[in-house]
Amino acid sequence: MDDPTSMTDSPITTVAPGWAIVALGILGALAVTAAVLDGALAARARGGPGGKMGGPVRPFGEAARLMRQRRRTTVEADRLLWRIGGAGLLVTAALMVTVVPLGEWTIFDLDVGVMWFNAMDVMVWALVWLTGWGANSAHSLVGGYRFLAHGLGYELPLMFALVAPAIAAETLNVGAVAAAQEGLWFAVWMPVAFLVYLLGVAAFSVWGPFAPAIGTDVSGGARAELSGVDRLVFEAGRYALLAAGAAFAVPMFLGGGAGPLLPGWAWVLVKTVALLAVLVWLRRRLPAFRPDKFMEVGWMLLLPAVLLQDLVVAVIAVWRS
Amino acid sequence: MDHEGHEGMDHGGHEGMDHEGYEGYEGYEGHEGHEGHEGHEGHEGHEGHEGHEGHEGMDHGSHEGMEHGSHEGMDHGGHEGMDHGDMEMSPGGIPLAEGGEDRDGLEMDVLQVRLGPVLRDWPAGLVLHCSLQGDVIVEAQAELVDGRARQDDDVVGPARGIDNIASLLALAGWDDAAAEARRIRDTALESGEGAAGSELERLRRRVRRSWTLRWSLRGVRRLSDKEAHARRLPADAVGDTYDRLMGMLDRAVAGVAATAAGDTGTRTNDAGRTLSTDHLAHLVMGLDLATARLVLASLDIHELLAGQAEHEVSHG
Repeated sequence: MDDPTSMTDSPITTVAPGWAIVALGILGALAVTAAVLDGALAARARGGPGGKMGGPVRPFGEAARLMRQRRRTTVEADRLLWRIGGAGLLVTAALMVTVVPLGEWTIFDLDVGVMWFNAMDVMVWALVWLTGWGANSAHSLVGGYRFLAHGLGYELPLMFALVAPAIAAETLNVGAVAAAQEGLWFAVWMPVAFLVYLLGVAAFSVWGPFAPAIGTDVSGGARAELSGVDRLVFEAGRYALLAAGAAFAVPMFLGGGAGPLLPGWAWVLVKTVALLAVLVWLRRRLPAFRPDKFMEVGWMLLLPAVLLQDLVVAVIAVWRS
Repeated sequence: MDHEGHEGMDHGGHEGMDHEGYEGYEGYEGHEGHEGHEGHEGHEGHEGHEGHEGHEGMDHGSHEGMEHGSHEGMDHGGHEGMDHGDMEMSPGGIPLAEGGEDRDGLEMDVLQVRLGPVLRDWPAGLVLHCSLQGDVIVEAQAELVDGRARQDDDVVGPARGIDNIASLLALAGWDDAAAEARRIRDTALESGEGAAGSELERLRRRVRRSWTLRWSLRGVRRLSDKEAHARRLPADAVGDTYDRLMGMLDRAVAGVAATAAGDTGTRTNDAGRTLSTDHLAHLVMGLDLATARLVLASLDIHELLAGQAEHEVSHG
């Protein structure tokens, strides 16, 4: 990994590892943006600021409240696995963005960056389930299993959605995929893969229609017993995953840093925030996809659709070469 | 061993399971409510085991393969004031889950989980003692806490209906629409002059337009005419959960309009919305937690009555 650029025709430069701090800062800022936007939209739905912690400032009030709240634990909790699950989401999101180029800079210029991202999103399966399992509570466990049920429905379509840009660009290097979209974004001529990818991002962030794993009907499901800092870290992890997912879509589907006037890094951020806003807004529009019902959609509709998309992309790629 | 765990199971698990802060709920004695349960006629072997009320409520269908003879040797005295912490099979005072036959014939853990009486988006006062296998309710007993009849007036009646709509929407995972419904409920309570009417109409349109909600609720616990009658449910409970949601919205729109017009004729409608707990448990058996809660919310319960089965047992 000391000089991965020599192995590829990647158009981007790897920055010193110390810049990872900046990447984390950007990820954090994006996560906060998503939380603020969600707070604002929630307040609008309630028709006013509602309560003393309403509106756009809600995430800050909520964070302050959780930091002061005493950590609660349950009888015979599997504490180690529980903590790993709760804190892991944030770590996973951070690992995801290491392969996302910000304009011309990236932290890891992996030859298999796309696979790296995919491996990270699969890790979320284990983390959410462990969060549900560790608390030793029935509702928590039900929540954890609900996530796995959703996972069975969304993961394969998500994987094949990531395959489409990789086929078209003939590489798994994220920077090279972005560079391969000269003139025409992949989102434009592979819309099915793009939409399925966005659904996948919402799913691995346990967000919006994919939130039954933490639903009110099971008292908060996987996160039911999380309190204080544990809960704060878990929630921050969800927003960070949403932000990381949106950021990764930019080089994969939206042409990376390409755009007029602004420099590359600015375009990456603008596109990321725009996608993030769409994902946050999605939650307002859609009811939950119940896991048992979504399974059928995942396998009977999304998977065939995205496989067909891959086929079309592959035929075009062969025909062009 | 098997059966000793029953009572402790229930009590030990409460703290962790009820998240609505009802820790102080005392006086409920384990499985007493189960005595009223029918369908265990075939189990003569159990007669004489005074200490085993908890048995009656269990799914005896799954006991075919068990050796009932083994009960004889058990120390029944141990039921009183058992210290579960000392038992090898109860780490931390919570006995391990017992196995039970699942729908597919394989053994699966049975968890005793109590829902209610105070729970978000849940009929107030209703307590459902569930035996869960995974998240499927294999056995349920309904009970009512503080079942005093309230008198809904012309303003509170429709508002309660709107509140029930909000609960169902929240359980369906549509926070935005649920928040809107709650806001309309508040408007209906405050002004009482039908200002909520147009907003309610808009909510109805919005809900009707959502094809994802329709897809999610279609076919959930479809009730036939006969079934609804047998369970003493109101006639509008016929159909699936989506039909019932639409019915709730229609009634709410009509109720608010009637109140605004000063027409008190709708009161008769509300009278039919008092349900007995007797029939609720049977409605949700065999469903998973999510659908069970959707079904209960879709019944638009304004008032609950303690069922017959409950009156038969003594509440020490």
